[in-house]
Amino acid sequence: MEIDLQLEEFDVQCSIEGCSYIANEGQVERNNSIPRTIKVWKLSSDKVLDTGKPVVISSGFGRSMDQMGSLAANLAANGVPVYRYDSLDHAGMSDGNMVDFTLSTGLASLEAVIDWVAQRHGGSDVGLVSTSLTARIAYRLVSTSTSIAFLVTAVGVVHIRKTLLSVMGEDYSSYREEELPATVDFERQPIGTIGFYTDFFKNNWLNKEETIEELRTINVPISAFIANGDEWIDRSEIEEVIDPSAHSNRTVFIMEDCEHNFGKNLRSAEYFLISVTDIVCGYTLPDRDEERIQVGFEQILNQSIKERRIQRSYTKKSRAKERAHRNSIEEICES
Amino acid sequence: MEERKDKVIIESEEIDTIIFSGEKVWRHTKEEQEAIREKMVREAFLYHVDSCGEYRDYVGRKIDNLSVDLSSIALSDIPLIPTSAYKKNTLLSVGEPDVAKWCLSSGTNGMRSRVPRDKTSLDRLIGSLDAGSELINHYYEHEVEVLNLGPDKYEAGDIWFSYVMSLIETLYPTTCFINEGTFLIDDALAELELLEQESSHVMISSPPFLVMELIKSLKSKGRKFNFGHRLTIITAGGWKKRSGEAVPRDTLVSLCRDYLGIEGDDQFRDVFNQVELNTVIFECSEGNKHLPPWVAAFARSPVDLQALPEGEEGLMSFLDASANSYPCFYVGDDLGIVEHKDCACGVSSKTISIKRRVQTRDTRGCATSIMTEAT
Repeated sequence: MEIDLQLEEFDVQCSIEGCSYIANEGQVERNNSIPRTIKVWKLSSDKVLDTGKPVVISSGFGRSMDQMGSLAANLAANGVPVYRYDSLDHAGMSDGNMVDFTLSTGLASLEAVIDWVAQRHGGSDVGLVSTSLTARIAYRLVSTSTSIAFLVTAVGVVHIRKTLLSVMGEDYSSYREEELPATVDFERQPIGTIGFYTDFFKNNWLNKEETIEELRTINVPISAFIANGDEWIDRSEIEEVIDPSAHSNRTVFIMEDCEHNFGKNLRSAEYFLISVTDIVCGYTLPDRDEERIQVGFEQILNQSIKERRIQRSYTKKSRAKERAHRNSIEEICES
Repeated sequence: MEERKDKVIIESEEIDTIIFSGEKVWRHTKEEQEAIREKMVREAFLYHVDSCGEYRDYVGRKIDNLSVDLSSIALSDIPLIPTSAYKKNTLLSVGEPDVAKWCLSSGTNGMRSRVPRDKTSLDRLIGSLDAGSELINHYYEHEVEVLNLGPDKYEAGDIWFSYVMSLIETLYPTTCFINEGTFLIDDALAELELLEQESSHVMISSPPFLVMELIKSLKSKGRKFNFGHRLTIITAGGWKKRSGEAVPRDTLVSLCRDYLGIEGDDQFRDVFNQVELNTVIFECSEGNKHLPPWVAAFARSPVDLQALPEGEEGLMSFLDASANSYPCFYVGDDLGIVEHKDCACGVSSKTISIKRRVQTRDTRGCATSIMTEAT
């Protein structure tokens, strides 16, 4: 059965306090009075009611919002209005480039989107699904926000220093500022180090203990999905931080034979998708008595290609601008 | 009321753990590959005998009314379906509502095969694309630009070859250059002009005859690109109805060197697939098509369909455990060789080499005779 899915695009403005970035000449404070734009997508279907409680999906580090399209399509098909966004200074269509990313920018972006969605839907009760590094950001936001009704995390980072050591093969947090390389590569994409690690210390993103502390103050339900073959996150640390045996509203889901990039195994990704759809619908549509709708392979594929093309068209335009800029500089130099 | 659990285990099927393991697919030892193949293909055989009535009846006629222990049958003795049976019959191992796509062959030789694929089979097919592409190189999405000289998914419709090629758009940023059946050659050349100035790796994915058209166009315009190591050309599907224009592979590679500026033969790769097969088989840098461990292949005698020793040329047959919605145990119209190679690319596995399509009425006759038994 083909579900009629509607994709809408919004610009959400965000002013970031205390955010800094590296310019060619060195560290430069950003002018915080100029709001920056976060691109937000809303996916809905004719099953979505005006009173439907919304869900925000935040993609993992280095991933753009189209990559959570299957989950968004399934939730929307079941009557949940779904919002996705690209963080500032990150992969995707929002302002900035990944080289300037800091965890606090990620937090400010998520907070701006949650506030905007909550406002659109009459206050609180926004669900949040977060993946990988953004799950760590989500734990911090949920510990202070009154707008979030429940949290689902997938391969959520709880001990950033340790995870970054696994990913990079080096603990750059132990370097002095002057020893840091200007950039390090994540999946062969350059990430600026000085801004990232300055924020890392200044805003206390460092250790597991801080995550445990934040989790202590969270009362909303948490469902945490763990990949048991996760090469970047120690499974036992997630279980320790979430501590489901001590909290009646927390559950840990262990995905067997999966790596950190669990979506690579499309069959496991499908079990994840079914489980998350059930969890989210359970919270957002508690009175729903229809059977769960699962969007078919072809429709998911069509939606995914449609969304990828939007992202691609944006990337192409950005590249064309860069090219034009490059050419004009060359012309000036030549003249 | 359902009891709350603080821990839930989500299990994965063994075959999926193997198929979706990316580059690790190619790291199994010879013994491990054989063990996986034996287990996965045999399990798939028992599953399809159980789930597909038509195949069960056929196997019953071939193996003494199923009185023998099917779980101990040698893989080379698993009853094979001729590809022609997929044209006339509906071989289905799942309920019809679970079919996500009816896949059609291009019908080069007349009637089309019609193969039902469910989501599980299609997911695994994409898994085979992902694993196979590791034989080319490991690229992150942001590092690659793909020019698919074939149609996109929407224009490909149900035609299998075009559909499979269009799936590359789900893995990498892709631009397609067929619109309403017309090859937009000038658009493709304009895109190459732009990409030549960029730093990303470029992949051209195409049937060989469209690569040839591209080259001819460059030749007529007197334009040559110089992509160096930044370009990989992936061909698939053969020359089909354009076989009259076919040029040997070496000639095409040489033309790609001259007009696109590739530097090594390893920048030209061919992949093998047909509508009945649920796995895409990729070529490595040494030009060998490596078989992943969930697929068994045998070259067979055209006379009695007995499996031939490795290295001997015969009718190619495949047993693919990744197909869930239909039995994928078939003998086709291609002549080829199956042999194990400790390849210089670093992969040690069974390889297939397709030599040519069956042309003569006599050789085709063998497949026709088993088709009669199958239908």
